[in-house]
Amino acid sequence: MPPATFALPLRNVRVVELTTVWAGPFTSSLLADWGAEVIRVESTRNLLGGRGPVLAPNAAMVNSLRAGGEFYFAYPNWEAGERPWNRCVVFQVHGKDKRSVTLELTEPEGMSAFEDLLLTCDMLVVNLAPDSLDALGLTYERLRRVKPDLIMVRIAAFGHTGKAKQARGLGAEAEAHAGFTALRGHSEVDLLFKDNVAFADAAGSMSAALGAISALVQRAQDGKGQLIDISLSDAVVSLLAPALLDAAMNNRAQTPLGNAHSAMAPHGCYPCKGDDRWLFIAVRNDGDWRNLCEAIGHPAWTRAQALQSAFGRLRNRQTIDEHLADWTRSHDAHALMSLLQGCGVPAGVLMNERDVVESPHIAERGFFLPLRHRETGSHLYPGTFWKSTPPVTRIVRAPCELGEDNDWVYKNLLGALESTYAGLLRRKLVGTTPQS
Amino acid sequence: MQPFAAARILDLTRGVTGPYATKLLASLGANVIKVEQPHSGDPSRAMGPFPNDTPHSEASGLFHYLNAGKRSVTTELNSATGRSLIAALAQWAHIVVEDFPPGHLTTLGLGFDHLAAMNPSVILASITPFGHTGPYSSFAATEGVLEAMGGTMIGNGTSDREPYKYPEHVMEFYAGSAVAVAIAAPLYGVLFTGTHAPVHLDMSVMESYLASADRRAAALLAYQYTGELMMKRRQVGELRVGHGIRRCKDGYISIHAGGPRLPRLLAMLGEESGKQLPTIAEARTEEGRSRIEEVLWQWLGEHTRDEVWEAALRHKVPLAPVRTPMDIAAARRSQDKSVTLELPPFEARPGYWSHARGPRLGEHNRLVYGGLLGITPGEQMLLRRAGVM
Repeated sequence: MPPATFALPLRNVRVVELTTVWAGPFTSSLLADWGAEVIRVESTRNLLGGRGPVLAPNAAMVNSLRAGGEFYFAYPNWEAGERPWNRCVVFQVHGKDKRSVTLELTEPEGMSAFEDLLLTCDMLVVNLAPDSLDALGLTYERLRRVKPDLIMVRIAAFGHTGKAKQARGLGAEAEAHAGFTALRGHSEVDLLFKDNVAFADAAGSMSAALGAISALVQRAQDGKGQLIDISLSDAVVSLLAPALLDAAMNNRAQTPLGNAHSAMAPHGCYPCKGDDRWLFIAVRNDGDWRNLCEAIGHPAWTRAQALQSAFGRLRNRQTIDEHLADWTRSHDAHALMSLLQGCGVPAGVLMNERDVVESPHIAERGFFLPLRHRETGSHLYPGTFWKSTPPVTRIVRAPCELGEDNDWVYKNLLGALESTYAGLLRRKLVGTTPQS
Repeated sequence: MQPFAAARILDLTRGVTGPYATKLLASLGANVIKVEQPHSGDPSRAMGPFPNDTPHSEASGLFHYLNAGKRSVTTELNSATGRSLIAALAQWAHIVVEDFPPGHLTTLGLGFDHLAAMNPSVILASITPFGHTGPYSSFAATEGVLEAMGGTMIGNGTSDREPYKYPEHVMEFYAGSAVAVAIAAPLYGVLFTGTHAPVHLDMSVMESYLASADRRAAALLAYQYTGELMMKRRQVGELRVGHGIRRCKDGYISIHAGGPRLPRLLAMLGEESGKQLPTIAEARTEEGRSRIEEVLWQWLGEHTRDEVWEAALRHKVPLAPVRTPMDIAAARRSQDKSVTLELPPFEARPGYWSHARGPRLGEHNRLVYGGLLGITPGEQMLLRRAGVM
């Protein structure tokens, strides 16, 4: 009789994370999704920016974040509340299923607690600037003397060797350095405008999670620890192989293509009824083209001989786009998606946040996890992109509050004496409230 | 020994996403047997780039990159005999990876229930655009459609025109890297923790985008917090001081030195340009901001990307040159690194990654069918004649 549930493979793995934003915390979040117990080490003196833009934003600052479109610094109803560090999106989105302990790495007692904690764990995930790691004494060479089989996963924008060691940068700089920025957009003009997304952090967290798991596999065989180095830039370069191969094989400098495709036309975003509503349509072959014409009702322009072949459609791409946009403009994007998909034509609404949160498909998939958080209330949290049969049964914890698990870590995990722990609390070396 | 040397993967995937996932594991030592359609093979064999732009079924740069270190066998899935070969290989494998439309494997008699009956510890990993359940599961998809539905496309570009898609294949590669993580974890479970049931993992590419750290996941939560749609395109001409992409003497740089990082930018500009700059307090005024940008534009215009980067390194200003793939290829050549095969997404100790070319179509038929499955040369001849391999 097979078990009724799928036991998560990393259930016996414990991870310590010392991270700021995006790539670091998402790496350990991916490991938590596979069952790892993640303990987040934080400081009440220096929150590292990961729990919000500042500790106590005033109303003017919150309004300016809102006006600037900085949604990742959003608070529920744009109210920072009394404990903003437990409410900001940038933290909450990856904070589920993690524990939080505070300690001060710059104090001897804090470093000693950190080293004791490492001894109970399998892995350390860090994404501080490389020279900050050195300054704190968190080098792999030193930490492996503390714990010889430690797996250390360290993430930086440009890696940890050579000139890059001094460099500072965020996801956007890693993308620029990796060749991604120069390839995106309708034309070179778009270079000058940053998107409000950071692809390098997504690419980097996947690379780091793969590095982390492969190091666990390696250690299960030879008992040895491992240093895994992530450069967000290199992580993006590995996803741009086709353009690099073209540069190497044909000395060709690829340039931004916008929505044009080497083999498909029509191919792009078409405007629909309403404000900022778009439908992406892709015609892969003659069959898709016939089906599209059928769906539109065979207007005269679709019957032009030139458009019946893939070559002709590629050559007359602009004309098709104009006609097609005239048609899509008067239709609802979702209705049009259903119509075209019903005819077998690849078409997808450019989904905004509301579309996803209200999507019946996403609801039926059970993608979102409903969690209730003491400070922010009940929300749907993005979950995993895989479902298993048999299913996983586990209780996912709401995002951890600052220092929420201090008692558990110091008393249960580290076996601190009651008097020692009380002393740390009294001297504010451990706490649940930022100190400045 | 490489980390995944003990892992056995049967790979039925085609194109980019699935093959990239198994390529990552093959480069980390896994034994990957890739099943291809006789004669035509994986569609990526027909996709460029090709050396000197000369198409050849064994020369696709994309195919070689995506299938490095795998073993290729050919089998006709539309024949019962061909399917029996797959069934035999599924008993050898720890994990079977496939990307057929939902239900297709079941109609071939190779669905999860069949595989689990043959191999009680099998992991079946299914990759589809929208997952095996839900109203979109039968939808037709391309990379662009998926990026529209699951990605951040609505926020790409400026508000004066339509959003744009990312460069070709990038999001397919990204989905492949997500699938590699989703395969690696259960492989660790099968190989070392010993306790698991047969498992079917139903993976959705759309959801891999929705859950990603590129801000989409954050936007989904922020919308619930505020009821506002904020993943949208920026205004043309929008300028935040010390933040964004700027032109310099020989190209562009990306800089992230606004807000709390402004003091470092002011220190750098002051020292490098020798000009008088506003104080931090003055930088909050419109006049102060314009002055900073004016000095920045002028200084950048007089210096190359490399000179600007050197200065930024000295002053710890978050900044990087905007490099092109040509720049990167040239940099790798100057470091004696291959541009074609060695692009590992992370660094580890020597010998961790292997680098190889992709297999020729059916290159390992004899090795796998003869050596692994014990099919005699006579029987192999029969299979060839019947078009099964």
